[in-house]
Amino acid sequence: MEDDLLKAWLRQARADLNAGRGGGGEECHRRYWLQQACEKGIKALGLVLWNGSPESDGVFRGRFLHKHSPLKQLATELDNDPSLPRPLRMLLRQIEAELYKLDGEGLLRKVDGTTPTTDPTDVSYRYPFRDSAGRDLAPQDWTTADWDAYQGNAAGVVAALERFLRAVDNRRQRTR
Amino acid sequence: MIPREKVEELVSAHAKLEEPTTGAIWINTDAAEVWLVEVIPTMADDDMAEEPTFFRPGVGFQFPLALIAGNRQSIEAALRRKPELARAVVDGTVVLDGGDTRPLVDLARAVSRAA
Repeated sequence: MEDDLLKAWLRQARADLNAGRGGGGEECHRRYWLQQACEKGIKALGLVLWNGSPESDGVFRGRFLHKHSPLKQLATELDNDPSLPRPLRMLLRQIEAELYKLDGEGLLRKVDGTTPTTDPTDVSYRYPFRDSAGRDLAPQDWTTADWDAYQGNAAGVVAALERFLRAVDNRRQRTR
Repeated sequence: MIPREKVEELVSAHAKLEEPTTGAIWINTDAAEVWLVEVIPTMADDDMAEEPTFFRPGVGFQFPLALIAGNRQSIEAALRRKPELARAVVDGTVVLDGGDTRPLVDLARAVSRAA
């Protein structure tokens, strides 16, 4: 059951990665799917590591598994609410330590921080936003260089995601 | 037996985090899990710091982990509350010492003697 859930997250992460590196859509669409693949891979890693009590499983799901940009979001929630269970704080650290080893260049952490947003003053993959010069832009207006600066080089992100998802799946298969 | 270099590698990663670990002692070194007592100065005071947080084996760090973590004051209080933890610290291996680990071992030794 647990393995089925983990496999499902990994399957969807791979589907998102395939959409992100495919030739369809505009670059903003492909970049959005890369962000989604990263998000689901990090959640899969969280599922791999998590060994909390049944009582804290609800908090794990509500504060981590069902959030956008899970690392960035969890860090913010832990800052705002010191009463959150300690295992959640330790989980954030352990995932960051794992990513430090797997992703020395920090691409995955960078992608995790690029949350899809409806805030018009934040860069968005999906909605018009106002750039630093005060211009209203559609995500499709951005050039590859703009996306590279925001999310990281696309080929590098795809390669980092492939390595990451493969490593999590190998870990799953070793210990199922 | 988990190789010491694997434990050092994990602690080194924890020491590079935004809120770094500044001290670490590997305890219960014969256990199947890596048991670590870590000093994380940015953590809030915790009156149950002796309770470990367990993790399953990870991807980069492929062994189960039992982590006892807190700021120095919380770890000191935990050692005073729990002599068996103090004994484990005395018998443990210092993996990282940013200045507050040796005093913790000294305190653990004193608690063990008094218990």
